[in-house]
Amino acid sequence: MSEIKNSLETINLTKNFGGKIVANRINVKFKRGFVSGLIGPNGAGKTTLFNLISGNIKSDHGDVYLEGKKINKMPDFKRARLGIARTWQMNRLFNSLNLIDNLIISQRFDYSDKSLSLGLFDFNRTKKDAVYEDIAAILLKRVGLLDYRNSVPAELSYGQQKLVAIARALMNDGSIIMLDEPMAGVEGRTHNKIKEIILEEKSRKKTIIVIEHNMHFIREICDEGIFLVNGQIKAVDSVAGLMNDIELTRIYFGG
Amino acid sequence: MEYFISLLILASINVILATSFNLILGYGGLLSVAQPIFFALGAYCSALISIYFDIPVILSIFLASSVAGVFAFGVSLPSLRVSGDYLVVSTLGFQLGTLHIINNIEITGAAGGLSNIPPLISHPYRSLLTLFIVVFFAVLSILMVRKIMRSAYGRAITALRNDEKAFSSLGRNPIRIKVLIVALSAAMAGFAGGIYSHYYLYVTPEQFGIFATASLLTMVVIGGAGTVLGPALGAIIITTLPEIITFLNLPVSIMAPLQGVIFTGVVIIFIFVKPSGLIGSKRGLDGLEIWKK
Repeated sequence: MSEIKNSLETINLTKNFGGKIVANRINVKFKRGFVSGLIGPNGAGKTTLFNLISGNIKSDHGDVYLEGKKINKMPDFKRARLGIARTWQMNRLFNSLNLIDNLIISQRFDYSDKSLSLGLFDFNRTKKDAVYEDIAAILLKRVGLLDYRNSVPAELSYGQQKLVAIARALMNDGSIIMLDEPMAGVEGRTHNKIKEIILEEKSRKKTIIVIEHNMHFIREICDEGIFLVNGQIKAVDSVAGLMNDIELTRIYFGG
Repeated sequence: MEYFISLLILASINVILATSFNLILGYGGLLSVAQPIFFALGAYCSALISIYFDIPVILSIFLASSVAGVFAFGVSLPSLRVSGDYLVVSTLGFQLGTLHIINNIEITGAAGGLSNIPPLISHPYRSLLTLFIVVFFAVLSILMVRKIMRSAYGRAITALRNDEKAFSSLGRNPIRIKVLIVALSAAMAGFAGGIYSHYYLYVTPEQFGIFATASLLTMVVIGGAGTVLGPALGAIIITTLPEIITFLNLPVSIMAPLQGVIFTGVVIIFIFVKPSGLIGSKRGLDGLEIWKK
């Protein structure tokens, strides 16, 4: 029964980088309709855990399960097609494409995945794109950037680029959304917008995993906190519970 | 006049080559230096097929072009798992290795080169007719690249060039696209090679070495990598410029070094003044990604 609720699960996930253990037997369950916050000092292995789940790096031992299905032998693009979407600290937007194209290319299945003709005999791109263009436009509207639909990322502010990166992950419309430091370097309206989007996705029963240093934000938005140190999970608890934990407070929050 | 037509044919062949190279270098962002090898494959295969088998020359050119494409498909599968500097090294190794083979086996005429190649057209006006054919295919190759880059595939190729990691993490298969564009580009280069060998009727291994890569790279870069017409323009300039210099009637002792100086000078000037090439986009979004970092 629990497998239905746990949409994403890792068992003994381990990764060694030339002797340095960046993920040490990580057992963690992520629940649907839940916002989980990964916290911990720099170098704790938070982004590594993202990379292991999304398939950017392969684990040495251990497994990753998506809705009960083992996915750790799959390359990253196949995992994405199963509905695992992510963002990066450095947004990694496609700088030569306008915002609409940035989103269209990030859908789960693209026209270019099927055809072998390299588009040489593709005579109705506009028609094929139309439906995805509508979805992309709706997402851009949601993040408040519809006016910039034909701009390239470089013409946007840093905060706006963060929003595009999030919209790009939403384009996948999968069950898992992983956000790597969505709040780093943003404030004011963009901050509220990102919070709003996360809560909307939560209400749509998505599994949301957030890496964040902004404790205020974590407390506001996360249903649970997962505390990592040196590639190991030290504690999983409600955020308030974690902050009350004296030892953790000493390691991470200082004092 | 014959000389002039022959020069135009060479320029048009180089237009096909530069356009095909631009597809992987300018658009795909893959710095493979082995492009002349696919040109060589086309030239040698087509020549050998038409020497040993009794089939129309144009058919042997198409066959050789497919051989180049299939060969590129095969070798690119393992080598495209690496990128950047590693790709340069692995393709360089491939180029030198293949040249070494051509240089040492009997059937290709070894270092002496392959001659007695049947011509594509035997006619008093064969040069003029060949020119029409090669210009037709040069235009066709430009249109093909334009079509690809305007399709949904072009969008994927651009995204791949911008950020391969993001590209694959969002659900696109980068290897698939890379292998396909490398194979198509090699087939185009092979086709150009076929026309070359059946017009000049003589090929030697040294034409396809690292100097060929350098001049091809120059064509793409000064014309504008990642633009449709840039590499074609670059190819015309780089092919005709040395010939124009010969009209200055300078002594050979000055001419040869002068050509070298002008070439190197042109490249250096472009790197500093206009890295996006003659036809670079104003927003600076195209061209060689490697130079933007």
